[in-house]
Amino acid sequence: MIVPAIATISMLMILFANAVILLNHPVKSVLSLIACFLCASILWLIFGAEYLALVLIFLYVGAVMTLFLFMVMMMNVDSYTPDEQFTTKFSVMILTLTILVPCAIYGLSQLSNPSMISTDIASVKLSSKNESFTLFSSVLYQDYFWVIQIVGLILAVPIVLAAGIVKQGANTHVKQQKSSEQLAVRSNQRLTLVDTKQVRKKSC
Amino acid sequence: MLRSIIILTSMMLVLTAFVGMIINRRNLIVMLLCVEMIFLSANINFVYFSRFHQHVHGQVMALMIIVVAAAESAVALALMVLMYRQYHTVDSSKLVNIRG
Repeated sequence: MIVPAIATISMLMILFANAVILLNHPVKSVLSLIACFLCASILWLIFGAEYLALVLIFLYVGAVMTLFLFMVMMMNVDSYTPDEQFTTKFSVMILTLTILVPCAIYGLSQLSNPSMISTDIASVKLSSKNESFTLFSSVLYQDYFWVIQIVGLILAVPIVLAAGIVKQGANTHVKQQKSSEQLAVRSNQRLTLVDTKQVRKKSC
Repeated sequence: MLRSIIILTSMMLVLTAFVGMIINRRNLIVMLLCVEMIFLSANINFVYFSRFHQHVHGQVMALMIIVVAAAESAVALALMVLMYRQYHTVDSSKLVNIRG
């Protein structure tokens, strides 16, 4: 029962992954990737990694992919015209897969060792979900405590950096009052009023 | 059987991402999405084999990959916003300012 379910979800995931690269509109591509992530989170739930499945949904689908979606929607992506047609894309994809899939099948045939099949996940007795979650939490906050702190720093620094980058770029397009330049201005740089009648008389 | 399915799935995801990078090499958004797909395939392998070997360490590694991928997405999107402000497009062929 578990194997057909995993196979179906895997096929759906590959289908959505192909939709990501074949659809021309980036919004549709992002939506397909979201579907792909949801399939992956279902797979992880089946494998017993509930915490990671929830992190994938909340952090990735809920935050990062929504950010992607907002950014793509705010950009004028309709003006993007792909240089290759769908048939060209599809033919390139088929050609690449024709070369690479036999390599993959050969690699999988090497895995079909009878001594290794017996230890497959289907034959392993699954532990209860609470036990898995407790074990993961204890490993996370005991063995990997400092690593988690560093990872949090890695996550925080680029976000501040990204905000800084975007803000710096925004300053070039916004008119701002610069008091230092205003104080440094001289009388000959100020606005001068010209009597046009006198100027015309002089020119005549 | 199950292990073959998972390995084949992650392999197909990586191949699809590489093909997508080739055929959408002008569109930076799709290229970034393909990078996310590669991260996802690595994570699927980590989670499955952590379960296979009954170790939680693979799941910790997958969590770190998720965090690094999120940070990478944030920076890449910020750079893309800057590019869109300057060139009014996300076409990578327009990035020719530092070409010699």
